[in-house]
Amino acid sequence: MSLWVDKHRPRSLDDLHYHHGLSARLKALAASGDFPHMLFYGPSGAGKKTRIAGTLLELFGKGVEKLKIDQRVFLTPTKRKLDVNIVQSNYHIEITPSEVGNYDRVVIQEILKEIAQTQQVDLSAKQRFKVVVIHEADSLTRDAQAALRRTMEKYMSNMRLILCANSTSKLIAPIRSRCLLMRVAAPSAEEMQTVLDHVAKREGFSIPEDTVKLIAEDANGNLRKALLVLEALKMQNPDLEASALNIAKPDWETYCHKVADMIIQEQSPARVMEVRAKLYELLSHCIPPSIVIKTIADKVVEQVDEALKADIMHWAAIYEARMRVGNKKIFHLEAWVVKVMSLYKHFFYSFDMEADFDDF
Amino acid sequence: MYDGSIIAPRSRGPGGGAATATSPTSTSSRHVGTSHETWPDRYAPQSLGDVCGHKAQIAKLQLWLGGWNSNLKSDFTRPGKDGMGTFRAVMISGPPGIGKTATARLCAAAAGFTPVEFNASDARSKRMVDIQVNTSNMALDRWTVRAASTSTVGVASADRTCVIMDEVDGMSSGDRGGAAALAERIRSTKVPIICIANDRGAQNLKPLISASYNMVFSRPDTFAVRSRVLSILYRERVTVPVHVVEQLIQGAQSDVRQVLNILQMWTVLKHGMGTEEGRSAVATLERRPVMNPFGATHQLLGSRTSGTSSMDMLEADIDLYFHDPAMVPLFVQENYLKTTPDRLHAVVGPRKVVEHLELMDKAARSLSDADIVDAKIHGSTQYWSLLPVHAVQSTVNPASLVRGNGLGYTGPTAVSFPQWLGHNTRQIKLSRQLAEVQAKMRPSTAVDGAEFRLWYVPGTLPHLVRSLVMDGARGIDSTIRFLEQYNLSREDWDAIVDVGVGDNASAIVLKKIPTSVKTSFTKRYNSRTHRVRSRKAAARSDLPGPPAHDKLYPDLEEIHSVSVELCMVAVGFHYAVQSDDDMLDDGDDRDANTPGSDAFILPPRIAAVAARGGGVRSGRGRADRGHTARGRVARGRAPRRGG
Repeated sequence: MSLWVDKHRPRSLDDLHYHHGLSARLKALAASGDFPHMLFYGPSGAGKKTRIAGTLLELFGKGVEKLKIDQRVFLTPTKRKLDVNIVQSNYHIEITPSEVGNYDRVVIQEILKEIAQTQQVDLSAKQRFKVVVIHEADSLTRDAQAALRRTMEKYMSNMRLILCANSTSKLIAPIRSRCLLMRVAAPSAEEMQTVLDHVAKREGFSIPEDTVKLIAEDANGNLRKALLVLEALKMQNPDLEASALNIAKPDWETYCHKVADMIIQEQSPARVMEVRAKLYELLSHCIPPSIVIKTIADKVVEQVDEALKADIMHWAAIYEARMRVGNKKIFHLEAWVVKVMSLYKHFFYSFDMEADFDDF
Repeated sequence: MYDGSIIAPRSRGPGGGAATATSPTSTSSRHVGTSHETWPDRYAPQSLGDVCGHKAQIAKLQLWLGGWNSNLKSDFTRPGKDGMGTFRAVMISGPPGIGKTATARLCAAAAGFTPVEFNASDARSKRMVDIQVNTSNMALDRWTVRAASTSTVGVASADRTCVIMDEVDGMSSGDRGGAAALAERIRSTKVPIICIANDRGAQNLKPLISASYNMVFSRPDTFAVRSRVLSILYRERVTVPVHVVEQLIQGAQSDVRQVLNILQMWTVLKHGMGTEEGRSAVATLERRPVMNPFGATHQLLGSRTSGTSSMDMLEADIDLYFHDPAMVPLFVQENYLKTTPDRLHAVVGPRKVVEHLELMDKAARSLSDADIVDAKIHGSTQYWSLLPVHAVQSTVNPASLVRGNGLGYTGPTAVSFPQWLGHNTRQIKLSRQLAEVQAKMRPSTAVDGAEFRLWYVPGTLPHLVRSLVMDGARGIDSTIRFLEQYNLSREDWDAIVDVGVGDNASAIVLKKIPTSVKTSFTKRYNSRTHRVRSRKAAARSDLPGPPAHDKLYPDLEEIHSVSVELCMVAVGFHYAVQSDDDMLDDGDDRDANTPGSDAFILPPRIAAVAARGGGVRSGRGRADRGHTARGRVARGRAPRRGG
């Protein structure tokens, strides 16, 4: 009954369908007895976590699959309580410190110290160390990353870290240099097709060739998305004929496209306020602001004159960057919307723009 | 009122007030400038005649105090001619500096009571009120010091006390329960209690209001105060014109204490005060009204007739920001699009449209700048010195760009409350729910953060909702199976449905499912037991606490090799989640008498029964398990100590 994407996830490194070189390397590392800190990075849906799970299995054996979830309370210096969900087995522990936003440093320090100061009690364990998996490592604050540095060296005898991130650019150099970097690239269209076919075979049907191609293309390297789409399609349309196929967009994407259309249709203060309401709706329902601006910008750019495209994207990039520095995302999103409207109207009446790229 | 917290009134005994009031010879003979006493202290009213105004209230208070004994005898059942006979306490309220405390003290003394005063400098928590405010006895001084009319601490003693609770609206967070305790006291007191407050409407005074007679002191008129002030000035040998004194009194709103303070300060510097000086003194008194953000926004974004210099405007606008630095920027952001900017009044046609958008663009960019500054102020760096920059960027600059007509008080363009706050709260709530769902699904999925919302939520929705919509009641079982597969609960179902937008918005989705299906879904889910892998952290801290001898308890979190189940039994944890069967690392730790692998969460009601000693699962079995678990914990601990 679980989703195909979970049901058919490869459990061990041997079952993986692509990046065989990487799998072999991970296996060799796990067998060597010495194991470095590692940083897995690559786009979402490429298989980072699957590979981490495989590596842990290789390291510790079946025991790592017995997971339990625990909610722990941490106290900040200001006595604020933080709830953190922790997934752990007897050999490893997984945390997502970014859950607690700015207080991630507290969580990192507490958990790592605790793990690092206790030795493996189970004498039959394959390794003397425990592994701490840190998810979303690229959204760790600077403070938290700084807190990691020293611990990584000091407690090497008891503990290894596996960081999981989308890109290394937001990690400070000292962390990167302490880790073995493992890039998990997005699968190519062909690799995705093999996986899709494999899943279909396991589920007892076959997918027409065109359909596989269509899904793989639409997923754009995100295998998770491809598998979820495949399952959704199969539910709607059991024979999966490519001609009749209409890959349904997720709710937020359709919503973003609506917003883009609204921007193109009318440029007025009243419209900005309508757009604002929609943006609030998206943000409050946990759609990341950078995804929002990217999706809307893509859709807007599709519909405007060639001359405007570069400008619109330029400003989207600027406001996206500001959004990351600032607190209230909506302010920057709205500023971008107003900018686009202003650019559009200017172009419509072909006035010269006063503000240039150089303004920033 | 004029002296700080000294309990004793200056009058000695009941009749002393009149005697001392005739001539305060000691003070008038002192030379100005040599004394360190402040005028308000030196000229505090010595008798009821010195109090400015409040004649009616004083009369009432005297009558009440005078009739106290007979009222006490009749157990406060007879209202008397002014209706005060049924009250055991009086609440005096009024603005500061008009003689509330002095009146209370003098009235009490005049009626033959010894005033005992508590004010904000005394702790007045519930406990302290209970202990200190002795309301059933007569003054002890009378018994201990015998013939002497003053006690050792200078408290004049009569045979009866009167409690004056000053500044009761100042009972703050530290005095929790103080007001309620006081009200309780009032209901049974045998001595009169006079409570004094500035703001009768204060929330924490509610219990007192209902228990006491309410007496309002209003500001005395200028004439009543003037004569008193002039006589003081005469004694101090200072000449100040009458109209200046009046001006001062009006400026201070009849606050006698403040008037005297100002006059003393001026006479220390120069001997006297002229008209101009009076005016400037009054100017310093002016209290600036704190504007609410709505008013500030109207002023900021509303049209302005020019005339003031731009420098003044800048300062005025920054001031508006500082009325409420947290809210005003949000109000500006919420409302800056609702105006028709003044700057556009000379432009027409398409150019107007374009220039309007340009102004909006500049304003929006300024708001975006401001948010970055705000992050520096409120983030980890805490650059509070940037606050003025934030004021300009978030408020002054956008307002100056789009300022104009159009902002109404009602209708679609009315100044509205910032939506940001509500949406932000909602976002925090939903993302917390989502994080919880994601953590529960973690063992069987490999996804986190944004990806979960972006792809998994739309992916799971068909499984969670479609069958309920299409098959109605028949779809319930498959939905529940899906939830169980992912360790999700009925609440998690709600959480996932809640985060949908557009066509997946929860309102739309929930409307598609018939109500009967929804209720039977809930019922059927609750009627079964489900395997749950996670447990709430709160459960651990909400425990009634381990038995005192169980010293092993704190180690709970550090022992990884002990299964969760056994640990929880060890601390007497009855109904929380017990760990999954397959998570027990070694089977031999489980006693024969444990009912095997029933890793279920018991509904709290059943658990409560079990805890009370009824036996859903026998209490004895639990005790046995607890015992072994403790042993196990101890064993688990040993190697750590050694190594």
